[in-house]
Amino acid sequence: MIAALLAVSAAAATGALPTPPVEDEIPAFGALGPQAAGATSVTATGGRPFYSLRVAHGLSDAVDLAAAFDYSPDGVYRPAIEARARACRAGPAQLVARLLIGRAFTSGVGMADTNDGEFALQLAVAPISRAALFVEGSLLGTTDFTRERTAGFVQGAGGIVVALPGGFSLLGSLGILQGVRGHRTVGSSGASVRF
Amino acid sequence: MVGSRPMLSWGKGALLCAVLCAACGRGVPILMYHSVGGDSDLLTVKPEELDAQLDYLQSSGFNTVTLREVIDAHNGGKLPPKPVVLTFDDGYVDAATEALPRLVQRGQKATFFIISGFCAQDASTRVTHWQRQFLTWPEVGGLRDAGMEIGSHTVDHRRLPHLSAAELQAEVHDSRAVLESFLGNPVEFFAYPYNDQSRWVRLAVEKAGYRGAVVGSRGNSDPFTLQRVTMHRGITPADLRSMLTESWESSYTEGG
Repeated sequence: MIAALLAVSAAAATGALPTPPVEDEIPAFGALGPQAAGATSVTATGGRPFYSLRVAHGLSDAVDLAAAFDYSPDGVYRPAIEARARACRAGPAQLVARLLIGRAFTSGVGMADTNDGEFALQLAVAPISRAALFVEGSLLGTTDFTRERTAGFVQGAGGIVVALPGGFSLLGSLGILQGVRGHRTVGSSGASVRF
Repeated sequence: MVGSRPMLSWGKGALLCAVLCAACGRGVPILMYHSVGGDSDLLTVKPEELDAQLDYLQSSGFNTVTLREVIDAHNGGKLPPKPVVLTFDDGYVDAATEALPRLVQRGQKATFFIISGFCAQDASTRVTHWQRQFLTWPEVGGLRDAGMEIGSHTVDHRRLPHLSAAELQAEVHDSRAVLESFLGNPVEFFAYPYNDQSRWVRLAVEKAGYRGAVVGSRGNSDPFTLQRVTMHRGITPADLRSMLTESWESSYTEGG
């Protein structure tokens, strides 16, 4: 991100045109995010643990901000805010950091409302411009500020995104969420549109 | 314990969680009962309250497990979804007359911590102490025969950190030996009287051959200081729900 900011600053100082957004060069990265400055995407995915709807808006070519709503049939509703920042880019690869903060409201038996946080690093490689593979490692935390319901989790996942013409893209992922007393598969697939 | 919320701002709380969460986590909840009956003592739960609590556990999908199952799970064993341990301290006669029938009726199990020195041979010589009556050996055997787990709560219920080495040895070792002699099977778990313990006491318990021990709210997930939640008079099913609920992530990952 610092490198990207430096590049933009240098271009502005010399009066040269800034480099085109990454998504113009590799549409698959545009589908993965972060969105380019001023661009907006709507992404809908379904799977475990959540069915999700996200609206992301690019604040700069390297940072976007999303409003998200996650729903689980187990009785969890989670509005959240998510920020993504491209940490670095080298040829057909990019590293993106993702931070999510949300509030989980629950109606399921045995579950309590909690505050959720997630920090993830996602490494994506695009062997061709319209398709990218990614792996993501996450640290998740949940708390309602009681000892009983404060816990940490780790998650590892991998996936694929395919950019289609017209700003549409398809994406899917599969991984494992590991807790103190067990683990479970996570995975989702869905579609995204950018405009 | 429940509802205790440190005075943390969201920012400080989030930072603290980020730092600590990798190490924290909650074990299987262990509920600490003492007596069931009509006494006004705070640690005596009314029979109708126990009914409501056991019904809540059953209807909410909680599975009662023994401490042996919990420790086995630490060593690679498998626990059912939503496990919870019920423990009853001291071995009052109402363990057999009030608690046991309610547990058996619902197919639930519990761990009863017995003060071996307070167990009489039969009802005619039943021990009365602290103005309460205690179980006889045949009644302890009845608990065991009904599938309940029996643990030791010492010989005389003395404060262990204050005892000499010989006295400590007698309370910790002899109670186990007597219980095992009578029951004919291993007694693997221990409850510290008054939940009062020290490093020296824990070492003695471990050396005596126990697999684990329980304390009160100042415990943790260490096998010899397993934390328990005190069940006192007046706890409603709603209170119990608040005490036992967990985050969606915990519920999700434990269901796998």
